[in-house]
Amino acid sequence: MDKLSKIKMNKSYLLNGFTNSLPLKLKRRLLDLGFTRGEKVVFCNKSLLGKTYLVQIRGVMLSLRDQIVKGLILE
Amino acid sequence: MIDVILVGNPNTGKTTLYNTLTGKNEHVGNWHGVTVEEKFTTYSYQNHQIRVVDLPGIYHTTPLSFEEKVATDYIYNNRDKLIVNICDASNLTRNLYLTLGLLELGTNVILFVNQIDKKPIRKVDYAKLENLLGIKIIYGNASHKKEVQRLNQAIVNFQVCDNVKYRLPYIKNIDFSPLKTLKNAEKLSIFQKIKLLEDDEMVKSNLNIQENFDQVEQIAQVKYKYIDEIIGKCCDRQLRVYGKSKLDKILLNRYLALPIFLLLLCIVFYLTFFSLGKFLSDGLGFIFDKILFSPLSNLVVSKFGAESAFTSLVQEALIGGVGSVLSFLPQVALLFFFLSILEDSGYLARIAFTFDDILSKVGLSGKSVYTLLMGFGCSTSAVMTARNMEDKNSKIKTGLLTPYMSCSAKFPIYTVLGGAFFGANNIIVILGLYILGVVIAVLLSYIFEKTSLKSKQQSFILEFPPYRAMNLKRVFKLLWQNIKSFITRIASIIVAMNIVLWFLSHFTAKLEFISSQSSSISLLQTFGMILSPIFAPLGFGSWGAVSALLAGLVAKEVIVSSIAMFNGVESANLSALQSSLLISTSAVHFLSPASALSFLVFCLLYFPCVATFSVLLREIGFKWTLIGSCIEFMVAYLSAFVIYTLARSIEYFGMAQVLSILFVAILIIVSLLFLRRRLKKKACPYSDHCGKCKR
Repeated sequence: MDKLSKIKMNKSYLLNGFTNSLPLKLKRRLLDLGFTRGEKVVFCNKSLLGKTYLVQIRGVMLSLRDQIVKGLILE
Repeated sequence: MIDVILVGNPNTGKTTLYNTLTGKNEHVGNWHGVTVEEKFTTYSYQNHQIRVVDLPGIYHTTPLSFEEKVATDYIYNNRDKLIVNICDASNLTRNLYLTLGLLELGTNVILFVNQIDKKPIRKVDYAKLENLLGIKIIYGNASHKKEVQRLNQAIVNFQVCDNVKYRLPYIKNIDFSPLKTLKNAEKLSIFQKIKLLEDDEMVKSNLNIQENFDQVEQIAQVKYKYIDEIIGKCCDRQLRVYGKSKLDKILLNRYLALPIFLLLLCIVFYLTFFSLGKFLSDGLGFIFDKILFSPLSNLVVSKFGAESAFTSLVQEALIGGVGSVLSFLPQVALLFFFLSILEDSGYLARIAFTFDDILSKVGLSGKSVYTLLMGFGCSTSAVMTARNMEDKNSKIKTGLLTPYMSCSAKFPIYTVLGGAFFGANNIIVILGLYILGVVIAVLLSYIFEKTSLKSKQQSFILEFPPYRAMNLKRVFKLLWQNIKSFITRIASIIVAMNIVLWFLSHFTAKLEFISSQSSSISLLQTFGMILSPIFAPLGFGSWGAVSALLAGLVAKEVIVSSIAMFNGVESANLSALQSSLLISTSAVHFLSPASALSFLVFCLLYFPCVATFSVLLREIGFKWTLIGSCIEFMVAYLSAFVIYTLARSIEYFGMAQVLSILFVAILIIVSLLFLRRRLKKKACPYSDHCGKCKR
């Protein structure tokens, strides 16, 4: 997601892959956690300064830093 | 002997199962990464000796952090052993991803589905799942002994039956064609082929292959598709989201989260150090004095005489020294009680989320919160949890900052000195010291981040555990463990140290005993007097204070016990110890509240105890431990000096005048910085294009 400001809370997005800017290590961890293409991602909350997001994927809640969210291609 | 390895995702109940199987009492918590190193023990079941190993949690067979590497290395090196893969029933999809990884490795696996939540969020047909995966499945609650017996039975039977044929039908959907370029590709095992496609560094270096295949996404896609298929066949629809709670609407509210956390922290500190904690501590001191120490003291005096060396040893080193620390037991217990509730409830992950973006400004992540909060309990165990960090610099940084937290061993010092010099304002002093430790840690982290320890990746990914009602049994087990450790420390280190210090402070260089009437100088006094000029600018240049600080290097509790001993306090009564600090003829005395405050600040920030030092050596290496220790001494000295100078100024000129001078000084510094920035901007010839000027 290039522009984080476009993200709306409690709205679901479809994951369509990862950007090249995302390091392999992080991409690997996200894949381990079930961030596969076509999966539904819901943004549930963000922290005080808006740098950390709370997302729901595959029935699990995860918190992710904005730099990781930027590496997700969402539709 | 049957060897069993417990493997699973973080926070699935591996250590709980380990404790139930073995009867051990290892630390568990509702948080990812409580276990950071392998633990093993042997137990017997039906005439079989079973050696079980508990490993840190992993998400996949490719490690991404230090504690994950510990686990995966152990699995690779012991792949012939039986693996009990623990899965959380509430989060089966994600947990099965690791199961498939273990099956690809060709290990013998028994799946233990742990129903951590009392209300499962989906119904699972385990017989069908067993049939689909082709492995033995046991389900139950890891903390229930009866249910765990079925696992024991399966472990024993597995050795007899052996060799279940695993089913990995998804392998045919993986495109192995990128490996065609390799020589002898057909000789590679399925596991090696998959790991090569995933660009696993360890497998690549073992096979001496440098090529990158970049197929990690393809593999995950195929495996998750297969997991979704089998979950669809044997589970009904998921009823709720794992880790989601209505409570989070309040506790994770952008504007309420921080005030709620601070309020909870204040309540915990108030209950621990003042109202309840103080009442219990005073009561225990009184009971010890009346029942144990006074009769013991009378008995020793009547047998050996009031002036004998043995009477002095018992009265000063054991009763006064050890008794004064022992009376803090209720407060230590209360602090650990609240910390274990925090750990067990699942709120810790929410705190990490709340603080992550604030900490990211100084190069830390939300995961550091766990280490730093645990630092309020015991720095030694807290430093070890820094292994959770994803990159080396974050790990070193978190390890270095943990000793700045006020551990439970430091608050007896705060209570004794604070109570003696600040009376009712003690609450402000203690809270101030706790905050000062955090502020210094944050400032140092910022400096480390800007200089030598820049975090390589800001990779904060944290799974939210569900909230759990307080498990009293677990909390009290943890509490008992900490009480036992506190008493053991007193009975071993503090008693031994007090005897050594008593000897050094009661004998001359010619090994002659110094009685209370004698004016001879002891060994310790000589040593303390040599070092005391170094501390004179900080306001506490007495030999006793310097010797207490040196003794505190062994364990921080020794500072209070040695002060009691040097001052000749012969009871566990706190007020007797506090009064002795105000007498100018005492070995440890402070001339003013300013010097007492300076001593407290120095105690907070100077070197950690020997145990923490040795863990730091192991975790972050000699170089960084040495650098960290030098920084700690410098920071402690400078902070104590600044605090002492400020406090003395307030004593002389009054609060209003000092504050106004400080305000003017800060105003001048800010103006100069602003001016410097403006001048820098104007000096840039390419101000509109160079990109460095933020205009």
